[in-house]
Amino acid sequence: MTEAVVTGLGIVSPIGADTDGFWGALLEGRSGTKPIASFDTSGYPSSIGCEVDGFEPSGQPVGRAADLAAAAGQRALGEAGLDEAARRGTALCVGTTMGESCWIESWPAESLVAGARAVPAEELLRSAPERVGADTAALLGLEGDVTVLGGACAAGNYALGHAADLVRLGRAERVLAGGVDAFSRVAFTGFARLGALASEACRPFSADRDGIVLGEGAAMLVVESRESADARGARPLAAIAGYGLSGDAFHIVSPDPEGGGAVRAMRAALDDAGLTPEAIDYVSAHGTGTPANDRAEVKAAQVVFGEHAVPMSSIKALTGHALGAASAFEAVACVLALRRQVVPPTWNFSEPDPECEWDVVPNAPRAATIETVMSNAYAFGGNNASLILTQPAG
Amino acid sequence: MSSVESEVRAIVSEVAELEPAQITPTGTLADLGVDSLLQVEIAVEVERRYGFRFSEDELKRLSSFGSLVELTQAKLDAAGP
Amino acid sequence: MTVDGLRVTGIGAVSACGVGTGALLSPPERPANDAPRTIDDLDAAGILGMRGLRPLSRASLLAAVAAAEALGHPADAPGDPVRRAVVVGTRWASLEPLFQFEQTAAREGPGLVNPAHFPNVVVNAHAGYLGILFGLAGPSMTLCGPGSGLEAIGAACDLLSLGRADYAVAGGVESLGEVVLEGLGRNGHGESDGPPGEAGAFLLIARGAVAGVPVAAFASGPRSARYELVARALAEAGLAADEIGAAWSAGEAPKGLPVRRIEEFTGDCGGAGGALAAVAAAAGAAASGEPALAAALPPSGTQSILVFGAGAD
Repeated sequence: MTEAVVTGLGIVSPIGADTDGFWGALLEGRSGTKPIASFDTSGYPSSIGCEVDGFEPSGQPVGRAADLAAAAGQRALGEAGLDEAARRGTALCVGTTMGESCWIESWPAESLVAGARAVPAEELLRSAPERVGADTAALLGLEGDVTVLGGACAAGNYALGHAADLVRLGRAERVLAGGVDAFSRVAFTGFARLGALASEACRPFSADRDGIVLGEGAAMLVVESRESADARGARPLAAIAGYGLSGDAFHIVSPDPEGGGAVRAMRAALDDAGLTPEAIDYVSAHGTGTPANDRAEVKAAQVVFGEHAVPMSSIKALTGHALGAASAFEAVACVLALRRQVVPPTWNFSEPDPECEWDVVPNAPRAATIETVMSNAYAFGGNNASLILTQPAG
Repeated sequence: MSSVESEVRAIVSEVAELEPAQITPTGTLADLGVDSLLQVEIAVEVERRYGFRFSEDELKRLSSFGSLVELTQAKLDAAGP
Repeated sequence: MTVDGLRVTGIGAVSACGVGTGALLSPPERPANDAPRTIDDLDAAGILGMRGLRPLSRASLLAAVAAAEALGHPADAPGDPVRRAVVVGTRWASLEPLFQFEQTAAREGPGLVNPAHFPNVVVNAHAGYLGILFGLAGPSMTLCGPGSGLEAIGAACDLLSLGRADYAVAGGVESLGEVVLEGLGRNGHGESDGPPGEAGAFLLIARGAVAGVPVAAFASGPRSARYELVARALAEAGLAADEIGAAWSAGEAPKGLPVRRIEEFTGDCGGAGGALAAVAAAAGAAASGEPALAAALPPSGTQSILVFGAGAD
């Protein structure tokens, strides 16, 4: 199989609209958490979120998710140095949680109560997740195959893993892959009803953690074959060495408290990459900041890594939980960690929780030798996905 | 058995897909296989049925059928006739 | 793609023709009108005989009914649970729950929305529930788009060929509710040329099985590539067009083959259409022992062709 390499990164996030700004925020602890502006939060148990401020939509008749994905995609394609002909032949693989739900979310209460016949006809089917793929491809002038993966909170990893497979199997020369979700009042309401929202900050792994801070954004990576990159004289930033998937088959929202599915996804990724756990120099955690996730996640890490005390941090302390974009943000952070040889910290960490103790790199970045990183994501429906990135070969 | 108890028992029975006789007043709902998500659902249905809302604090005290009935009755009594 | 050693060992379907693949293949009299092809009076709980169905959306229930048949009655998934994958394709199955969630919030306030309804608005809920109900703890994927039911089967073949699982339950689901009916009705059936339908359709595919319908080839690509896909798939399968016994399609009918369009029997079932075509083709191959073909060639999105080989046992 050919090597799948990353040749371009693009990000639209609550903490930076380009990779330098994003990385700077990760190292300096600049959080995207602030009072929610896009809707009235009275009546909700929390009023904070990580919205992307000042994002300029394209002005085309597409939803916010497609706009975010296209903006991130534009940057990635630009960094990869792809001309128009090369873009046309690029496939698209995008992961999402809520699809293009902005249309349904925009319908006024009176229309909702009256029923679907009271709503504009052209908007009725526009919230389908497939629109994120079709519209992003159209905005970017991509004419290759389009795949939309509904991977919930692990969607970014699903898209990147799938893209790596397409390249490694020789089915595509180049794929623009990543994840996106626009700030969703429905998701905010749902997490509120589940009691999963943090009251004032996201504190992954900390004893006083109390939930997620919902976010939004998009991150896209250009994934291509080593041969294609070399032929263009494009410099690979990292290689996707492998990925692993598993299902908890346990509960539709709660993670398996023993982390069994998480363990299997990590081991499947290591297997796919042909690596042992000791090879991992840094783990980008799912680390949402809920009591249940972080506890189960550390349990799983203990099982897989044992005595190998690999640093594991969660950037969600700053970015919030961007759902479909989350593991795509984390993939960008992983590529940058490989490039810059620094582990981004887990910010907002107050004190260790005896039930989930691990080296989570609290509150200060750490220089380190980083050759191989693992990024984990765990989603509703018990969908687990682990991605492994390495320095490019040679 | 009071009517509140039998109504709440019917709600728990429907949401948790349990036989009414399986729902004992002591022991936690979790012991009966009723996970936290189902427990929140039960609370929502009880709120709907009686038109009141449980506070965040009260929700934390609803882990057994007995306490659920007790708290429901108490809220109804407090609301007056 | 290499599909050596992959065989379909189970098929399941539920559609307006009735419950089960038997009903799909000997459908009732087609209605003369253009009314949506709905599945009426479905007793999913009775058919499945399981607890824990209450929170499932209609689409998840349809998926479960079809998956149960593919897994055998009573549903008995083979092998180690962690080596069983599930791959689901759909277009619209998240829209109805999303609409109902918002409708409840509008009517009663966000504080009275049932939290159990939240996971249903996320499109991977169906794969999630199939995993929970049938013990599928291997890779779990959901694909979205017009041809996604057949794409899902292709993705499952990849998972199996790459050794990521030994069995896969793969297919598609679509349900008709207020939003989809209204959306298609007012937009003139959307891109389709007939009434919409609802369905669940799944294959059970096994790696290294000795019995079952052999998977000979799978090819997919963007719409611009659709005319080459059949040729590419046949070449990969080592078959000529005239060797294909039964051919079923959702969307456009590929030329040069004796194709029956599944929509004539079930209505346009969105993402489930390609999976219904695959179920019908697999059933045809199983009955005749001859190669068969299933196509999903929707007016937009990914196009897919699946070829079953000769010699089903």
